[in-house]
Parts: sequence; structure tokens; C-alpha cells
Amino acid sequence: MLPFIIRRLFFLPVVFFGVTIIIVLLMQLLTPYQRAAAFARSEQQARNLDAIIQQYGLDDPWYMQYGRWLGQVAQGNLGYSRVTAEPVLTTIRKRFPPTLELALFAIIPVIGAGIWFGTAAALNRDKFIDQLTRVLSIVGWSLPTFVFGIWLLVIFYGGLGEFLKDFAGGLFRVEPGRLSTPYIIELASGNFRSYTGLMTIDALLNGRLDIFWNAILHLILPVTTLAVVASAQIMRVMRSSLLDTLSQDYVRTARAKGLEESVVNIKHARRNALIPVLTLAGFVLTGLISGVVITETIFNYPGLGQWAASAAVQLDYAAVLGFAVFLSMVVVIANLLVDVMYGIIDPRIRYD
Amino acid sequence: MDATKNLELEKKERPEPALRRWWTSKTMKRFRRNPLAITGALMVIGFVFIAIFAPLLTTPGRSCARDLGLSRATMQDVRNPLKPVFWRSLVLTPQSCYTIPRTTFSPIPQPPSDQAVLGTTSGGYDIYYGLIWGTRTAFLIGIFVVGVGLTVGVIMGSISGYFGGRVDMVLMRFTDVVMSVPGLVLAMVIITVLGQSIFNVMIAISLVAWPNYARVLRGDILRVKEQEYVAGARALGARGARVIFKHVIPNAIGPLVIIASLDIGSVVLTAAALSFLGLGAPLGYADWGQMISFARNWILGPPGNPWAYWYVSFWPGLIIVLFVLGWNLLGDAFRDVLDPRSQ
Amino acid sequence: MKKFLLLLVAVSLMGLALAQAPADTYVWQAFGEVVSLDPARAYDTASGEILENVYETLFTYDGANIDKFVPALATSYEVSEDGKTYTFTLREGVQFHSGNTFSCRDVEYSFERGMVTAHPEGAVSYLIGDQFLGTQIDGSDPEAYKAEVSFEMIDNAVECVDDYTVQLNLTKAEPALLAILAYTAFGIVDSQWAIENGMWDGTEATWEDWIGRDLTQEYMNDKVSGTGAYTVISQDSETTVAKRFDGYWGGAPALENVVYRYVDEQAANILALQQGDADRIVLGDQAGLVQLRGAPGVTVYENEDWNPTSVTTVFFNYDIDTSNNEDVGSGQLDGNGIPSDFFNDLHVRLGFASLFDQQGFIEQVYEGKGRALTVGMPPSFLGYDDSVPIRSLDLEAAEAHFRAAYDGQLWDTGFEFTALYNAGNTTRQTALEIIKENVEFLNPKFKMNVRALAWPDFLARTGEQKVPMFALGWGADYADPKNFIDTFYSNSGFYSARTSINFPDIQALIDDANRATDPAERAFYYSEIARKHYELAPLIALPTPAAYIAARSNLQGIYYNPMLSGEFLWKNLSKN
Repeated sequence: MLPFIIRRLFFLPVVFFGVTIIIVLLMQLLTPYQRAAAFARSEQQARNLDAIIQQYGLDDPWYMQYGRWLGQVAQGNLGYSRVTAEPVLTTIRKRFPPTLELALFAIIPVIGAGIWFGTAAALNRDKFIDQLTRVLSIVGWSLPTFVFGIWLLVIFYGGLGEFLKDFAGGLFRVEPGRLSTPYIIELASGNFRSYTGLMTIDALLNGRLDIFWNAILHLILPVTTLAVVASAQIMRVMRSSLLDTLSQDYVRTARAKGLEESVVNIKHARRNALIPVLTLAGFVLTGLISGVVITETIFNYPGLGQWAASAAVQLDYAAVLGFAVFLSMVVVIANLLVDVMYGIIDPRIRYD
Repeated sequence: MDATKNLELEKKERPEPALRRWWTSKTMKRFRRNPLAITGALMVIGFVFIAIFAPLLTTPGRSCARDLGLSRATMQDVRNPLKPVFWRSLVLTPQSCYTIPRTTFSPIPQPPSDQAVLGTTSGGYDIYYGLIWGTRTAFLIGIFVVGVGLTVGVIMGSISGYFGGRVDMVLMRFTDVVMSVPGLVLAMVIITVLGQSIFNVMIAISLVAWPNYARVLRGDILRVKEQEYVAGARALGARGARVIFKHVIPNAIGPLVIIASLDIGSVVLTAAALSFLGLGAPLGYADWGQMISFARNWILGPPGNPWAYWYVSFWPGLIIVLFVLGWNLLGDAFRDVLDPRSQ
Repeated sequence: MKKFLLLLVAVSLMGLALAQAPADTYVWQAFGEVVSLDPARAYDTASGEILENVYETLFTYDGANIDKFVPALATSYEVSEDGKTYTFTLREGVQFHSGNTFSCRDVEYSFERGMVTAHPEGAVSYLIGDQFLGTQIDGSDPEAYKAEVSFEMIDNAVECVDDYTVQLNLTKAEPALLAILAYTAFGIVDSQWAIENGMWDGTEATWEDWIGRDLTQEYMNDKVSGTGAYTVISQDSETTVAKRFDGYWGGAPALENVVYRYVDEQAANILALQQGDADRIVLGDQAGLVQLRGAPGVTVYENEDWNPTSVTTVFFNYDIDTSNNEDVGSGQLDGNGIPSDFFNDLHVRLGFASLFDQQGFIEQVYEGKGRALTVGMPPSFLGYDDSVPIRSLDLEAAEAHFRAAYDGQLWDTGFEFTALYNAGNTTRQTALEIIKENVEFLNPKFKMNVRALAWPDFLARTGEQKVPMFALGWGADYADPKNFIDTFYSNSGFYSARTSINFPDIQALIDDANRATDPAERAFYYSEIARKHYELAPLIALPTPAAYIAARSNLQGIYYNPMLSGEFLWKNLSKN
């Protein structure tokens, strides 16, 4: 397995150069003048675009600009993000943990619901639960995240309608963001140590149940938005791959051996059915990362997605590059982990 | 469809035997027995009709009428199949007809009225008009993206799958690189760079979509290559390009085309998401994504009447969900049917 | 299990109790990012609002008045006869947030630092370069800057007479100097603290290193030490947290904390105000106020006399670059395009000006809350003359003008061109569409298209002089008519590079106004310019909307000063 992992790690530089060259070339489709104008926020600042072009060397050939950027990277500096007004690396360091937290919390219901519904559907083929799963998964898959997210926001945070006004004691009525204002002030005052950047974990490590709870409340709506669409996909794959394994020889053999049906189903079939699900989990992670762009924008959640959205629209050169490089690395590494997990689930798989 | 009708159909039109064979094939039978599939098919067909007959379902706006040569007196001609303008509006639709007429310039949405039966969005854009004409835009986006994505995917996939070796490695690493950037973000960068227009949205999504198709086709080609009839063709002396184009691609491409065309729903969803983020059609262009982004600020009503602007988000949301649902139901059924495992 | 449930309830109640903005905190939410906390660099509203509460200027606005100034860090000032030397007496006993004591060297350091760094995206060179150094050049190219500006010039511009007297030496008279110096770019920073933390050390030896330096990467980008009533304790891209400065010379303010949250989603902002999680919000789309008016606990302050100090106008380009230009059609006067000097014809301009429905625009776009302008500047500024007539929709007059245009030729041949606005700006879009609708109604041979470009493309394309007609605006840098009239109408103003505007009559009046120092005399010239604006229609000024402030009802101390980025200062706020 080790040579396999090493070989896959060699792919990282390929992704690095590939992704950055693609983006740098894309940016070259704009004239230096346009790229300079992207720096201007108001009419006032547009008064000397030529100066900006000169200052940032925007009219140099692309390989020179790319070379400059690489030079910076070699010194451990990914450039400066204009959108967040701080170095790209700082932004990534600050914004990756919130996104990771969101994705981790989302992946629990996604995998859970996905596997449960998928299994139930496959074992009861064409029964009610199967039809329900299929309808749920198709509807969930057809929902536009952005409409769904805003509706959640307005209904639960806005407390629309008499019934929802005091739903669950107003439990869901926390403002968008990561924490409530008093905690933001407290964190700014420096009495709270950040260990991991994951708010829930840090809160526990600081022994602050109230902050932990506040962070959880802030996660509910965005996590729901993210999870609904993603679990629909997992359900489908779980169902069809379980159907597939159930019809295979060794399951039949196990049945013929007289093993009890539930043991067959769970011990043998489900474990093998998990392999495609694992593949999909890799995809879901990528999907979640795309999903966070919209979810974070709606729920004002200070993660990578929100940053990426404004950076892309405002042509924040360094931010787009840094973001794309970082996320593609994350994706590659996540896929590598998935592949390694195959081997753990099914020792027969060989890496060559 | 019941049997008698089917018979009638046969008598009247005498369908080609191939068509009949397809209709009565095992696959189609399975498909026809699936209520979800039928629902999906009906929904998609419904949208096709809306798209085709958009000019008849709406009253043209001022610029649209001008470009069609219609005056107030001759406005009804657009619904009369005997007049040339009827056919012109259907087939050679002027671009200006895709601009949603504004009933007012008020930034506050207006409730349904005679002028705008489903109400207007912020800025006085007629919701009904936008949704009807937006159906055409949706199909355009879906078909274009899948078409271009598929073409690029097929070219890359077949080169990669057929030649194998170093070519395969380079091309596949390239697709890996493209796939490792989150699609939505890459599409956003492409649109920002190319400039905002429907066309650029389509280009951007196609450029993000092709690697999937390329991979599937490559896998299929690798599998087909091992199969007997290719070996047979080889044995008969057929070589290189001939084998790949005559045998391998036609065999591998069929399922791929079906799978890809069923992506139309999700492609439209992606385009709408981009519109929502502010990267889409120019303001006022009939496009569902834009209708949704109009709704973004108007889900909440004035105090005491929280649902006052329900029509701004409800109708576009409903239409998009129905459209995507139709395609996904269809897609789900087809995948089931095509999937040998679920036989 | 029961115990667990109890715990859950207890914890959730705890979360609930803390959900509202606390009584000692002012929370405001808006859609702008804080770019920098360095006064020499910041030039945007979000940063401005923080800075005006953290750093103080020599003189500042008197409450809501934009043309009356009261002492802040200075107590009084004198101007020399020729208007070129200003002597300020400084306040004693003022402390910075760091504990250092304020004196003249801080003023000298702050002004010199602004001129030394001359940041191309900051405001300093643009606002005082000409008056202090005789050039508006900025530091984007250090060599070019050094060629025009010597350290001696900068050093001489600001001189300390003694610890509490500073003298500003101008190269030419500037009637609006107090107004200009009230801007946050001229806030006084703590020189000792700045130098200790690696900023420019204030000497000639190192000044070259700092010319045009990217200040967003320096210490002062997110750290502050000023004399203001608040100090920033934490700053990042989505949240700024400020705390009361107990040593403030004017007495500590009532509220202890201020939190600024950058929130893009309008629905989220509106809900936060309704729920009491935010004390004040700013809407991207003013129409969203209907979702707030009458909400319990929320007050929407609206006042017809509150006029924002920004103006949006529809510009004509007098020298269009017609080569390879899709926006001018054929580039000829043949019915399929327009020639490059199309708008030089007086009747064409008067025709277009007679097609814009001022009142209808106010009714429909601003919900009836707005005001038509007699000239392209804010109505609250010196010299704004209400008695000047305003051209508005008049189809007959428009027809008469278009029939007279090009000696009667235009009406028969017709024209086609495209007007542009920046994508997403619905006000500008609507203004152009109203003109389009009317001009096409007037004569079917007149074709006007309206299209949007993304902001950078829009700036770039107007800068290349390719756009025949476009809608753009200007926000005041300082409360003086010069800031608008020169910008819009002068042949050397900001927009001249995009419009090639050059009306000798108007230019003469502008030059006269800039030479005059007596307010009454200046007002006269600006009123004359407004009359010329009516006669010649060099551009179409759009109506200005009435401003608003949306806040929680229990927030006290709100006033409206459009020259402050935040309309009011935090130190005046309290909650009941």
C-alpha cells in the first residue's frame, strides 16, 4: 500500500501546477486594464488604473506574473487577498476550520440517513419504504440549495407564521454567523483559547458548554441545507449497490449455508455495498465543498465558500489561486484517504 | 397508454418496425410500467410544449412586438397559424422577445393582476412572462451544456481510452486536475473572466462538466476493447481508427448520451445557482435563475404580513423544482432500466 | 435521561437569553468589507465608519451639519491673508489608546506619513496633493513620485511651531481645507506607537522605502492607536470589535462595545434588526425598507431633507472612440449608428434631457421619496440653487429638439447606440431604460439599447472612451461643491477622461469659483453653473433619494450627517 500512497502523493504537484496554470491563463483573457479596474471599489479609485497596472505588474506576460507568484509561494507566501484584506494563507488558516466543521457536521446526517434509507429501500424492494426513499432522494436532489436555504432562514430565523413563532422555544432563532454577539465580543477580548479552530471542539476544550451550545445552534440551519441535497445522492447509491451485492454469489452462498437473513444482510452484503458508497463519500466531500459556497453566503458563515464566492466575482487574483490550490489539494488527499479505506473495508483490494 | 390506442396508432401511422421494436422492447416495457418514469416523461414533455409555444402563451413586450413587426391592432396575429408572424415568432424569434417586459419600474414586487397574472418581481418584471420564456432558456442551457460537454468528453475520452499508454496518462491527469477544482468555483471564475452573459454561463458549465463524460467513456472503451467482437473485428483485419470508430465508440456512446442528456435538470440547477450568486444573464433576460435571484431579497414580507410577496419566490421555485424533478424522475427510471444489475 | 433533558433546556435557555444584542453593545450590520484600518490607505465607507470613531481629525463636523466645523484635536485656527498658511492650536492633555500623550509631532507625523506613502488607493494625494505639494501624483511609481516630490517639500508642508501649535503651508489657497481635513484620511495617529511597531520612522533617511508601500500588509492595517472614543480590539474580514476607550478626553461614551458584522444577505440583515440581534443595518436595496417599516422595536428614520452626498448622472461622451465599437453601431449618422461627436449637438442633448421623467423616476424608483436636482451636486452643498429650473419629461419639447438636431436631418435618418451601466445597479439601469423607452416611443427610427457590464469592464470601457452614454455617480470626499462640479463639468475633472467634456462657458465659471474664497461669491458662481447646466444639458443629473437610517427603537443619539461614513458617531449613542 505504501508505494501506492507515495505514487498518489506525487500527483499533488501535478495538481498544483495544473490548477494554477489553468487559472493564471484564464485570468489572462482579461486586459490588464480590466484586472486593474477590479481593484477599484469606487469611482474615485478608478482614477489611475495605469498606476495600479504598473504597481502590480499586470501588463507583464503571463509566465512572468506566474513566476512572480511561484516565487512568493516558494517563500511560503500565497499572496494577498484583497477581498478579506489579509494574506491568503491567513485567510485559509482562519476560514478552513469553520468550513471543515460545517462539512463534518453535515456528513453525519448525510451518511447516516443515506445508509439507513438506502439499506431499508434495498431490503424492501418495491415496498413502501423503497418508493419513499426513491421519491425523497429524487426530490432532495432536485431542490435548489439557494431557495431552500433562504426559506429555512426566513422561516426559522424570521419566525414566520404563528406556529413557528415560538417553535421549540425559539431555539432556531439565532442570527446567521458562527456565534452570537456576546460571544464574539468575549472571543475578541482574548479569554478564549483557540486550539483547533473548530468552534464546538474549542468550546469544550475551554470548558464552555454555553459557547458549545451556541455554536451548535448556529450550525443547525446551514448543516440542514447542506445535508438535504447530499443525502439524496448517498441514498440512491446505497440502494443500488446493496441491491447489486445482494444478488451476488457469496451472499447466496451465505444464505444457502443457512445463515440468518439479518446476519447475511448486515455482515456480508452491507459491508461490500459500502465500497461504492465510500467512493461516493469522496464525491460528496467535493460536493459539500461546492455546496458551502452557497450555504455560507446565505448564512453568513465565515468559511472558505463565502470567501471563494466574493473572490471569484471580484477577480481577487491571489485569493482565487490560493483557494483553488488549497481545495484541490484537499480533494486529492481526501480521495487518497478514500482509496486507503477501501483496503481496510475489503482486504482483497490490491493497490497496483 | 392502453392497448387499443396503441393499435390505433399502429394502424394510422404505420410506425417503422424499428420504432415498434423499440416501443415494445423489454426495456421500454419496464419503463412504461414505472409510474414515476411516466410522471417524469409527462413533465418534461409539458415543458417542451411550453418552450415551443412560448410566443403564443404570452403577450409580446414592446421591443419584441416592434421586432416582430406587430402593432397594437395586429397583436392577436401572433396566435393565428394562418399569419406568417405566427411562424416567425415560433421559429425565428427575435432576441428582444427574451427580454421580460416591465409593467412598472417600482423596486417593490407587485401582486398578481390583469397585467401580470403571476405578479411582478422587484423592478416590475412580469413573472409569468419570465417563467414561460425562461423555459426556452432552460432548454437552451441544458442542451448546449450537455452537447458541448459531451462532445469534448467524447473526444478526450475516446482518444484516451483508445490510445492508452502515455496519451491516456496525460489526458487523465488533466481531467483529474480539472475535476479537483470545485466545479461551481471554477465556473464562477470562468464567467467572471469571460463576462456575464447566458452564452458564457453555458460555456463555463460545459468546461466544468466534460471530465465526467470523458472518464465514463474511457472506462467503457477500455471494457469494450476487451470484448469479443472487437477482437473479432481485429481478427478480420480491421485496424486502428476503424475499430474504434466503427465498433468501440458506437457501442460505448449510447448509454453515455442517455446519461448525459438526463443531466439537463442538474445543469439548469447549476446555472440557476450561478445566477443566484450574481453571475448570469443580463438583468431582465428571461431566465429562471434570474427570477430566483430577484426573489432573494423578497421572501420576507412587510411586518404583520410576512407572506405578502409569496409569488416572487414561489412560482420560480416551483417551476425550477418541477423541471429538475421531471428530468431526474426520467433519469432515475432510465438508469434503472439501463442498469443490468437491477434486471 | 430526565436530568439530561433538564440540562438541555437549561443550556438552551442560556443560549436564548444571550441571543439579543446586549444593552452595552452597539451592533451594526452592512454589506461592505472593512478594507483597512490605516487612515493613509482606507478609502471606503465600511473602513471609514470604524476610523472616524477611532482616529480624530483637527476639526470635525458639528453634529449633523456638513458645513459647520467644531474643534476636535485642534482648539482653534488662523488663516493667513493669502489663504496659504493655516496655524492650528492643538488640544492639550489628550491621550492615545496606547497611553502616549498627543502633541504636535503626532500631527506632523500623520500628515507626512500620508504624503510619504501616497498610497495610490488611499485618499491623501488625491485630496491634498495638489494643495500641499503642487501635484496630485501618487506613489504607485516611487521613481516618478521622487522626481516630482522631495522630502523637503513634504517636511515643509507641515511644521510644528511648538508642542501644541502646528502650521500647514499650502502651495495655493484652498477654500475647502477644513472640510477636506475632516476626512478620516487625516485622522491623527499615535506616532510613537506607530514607529515602535515598525512603521515609517518619520525621517528622511527611510522615506523612499515607504513611497507607495502596500499598507494593507503592514501593522497598522488591523491595529489602531488613536485618540477616538473607541479602540479596535479585533479586526478580520467579517467582524470588527471595538471597545470603549476609558481615557477619552471628551469623556467616556455610554456604550462599552461596538461590533460591526459584514453581512451580504439582505434578508439576514433585515431579520437581524427585527429580532434585535442588530441595532442598525444598511440595506443594499433601499426598497427593502417596506419589510422594516412598522416592525415592533424597529424605527426607520426617514426625512425628506436628508440628502445623501452622492449624485448619479447620465453622461454623454463628446468624443466617442468609434473604432471597433459595437456600442455606436455603424459609427455614422446613417440611421444605424452615431458619429463620435453625436452629443456635441445641443439639440440632441436637450432632446434627451427632455425625455427623462424626473418626477416619475422619484415616484417609481424612490417610492416618492426623493428630489430632482438643478445641477449635478448634492442639494445640501454651498451654492446649490433651488430656483434654477429642471428639465424633465416633455415629449413635445423633445420632439422639437430632435427635429432641430443636425439641421433637421436626424429626425429622418434616425440613430442607434447603446448606453451602459454597471451590472447590478438597478437605479442606473432604470434611468437609462426610461430614456430608452421614451426615445423609441418618440420616433421608431430612434433606437437606443441598454446593456450592463461588470464593474471592472465598465470602468475599463468608459475609460477607453468607447461608451457613448453611461450612468455613473460620485460620492463626496468632502462637503464642498468643488468636489462635484470639477469632477463632473471641468475639462480637467475626473470624468473628463471619460467624456471629453469641454464647455468654455462653464469652464470659465468653474475657474472663477475656484479662485474665489468668499462663500457668497462662490455660491454665485455655482448658481450660474446650474443655469448653464439647464441651458446646455451637458449631462443629466438623476434625482437624489431621501436618505434613511434603520435602527432599533431603543438606540438613542442618532443623527444624520452624510459626510460621516456611519452618518453619526458611536460616542453619542446610548440605549434605553
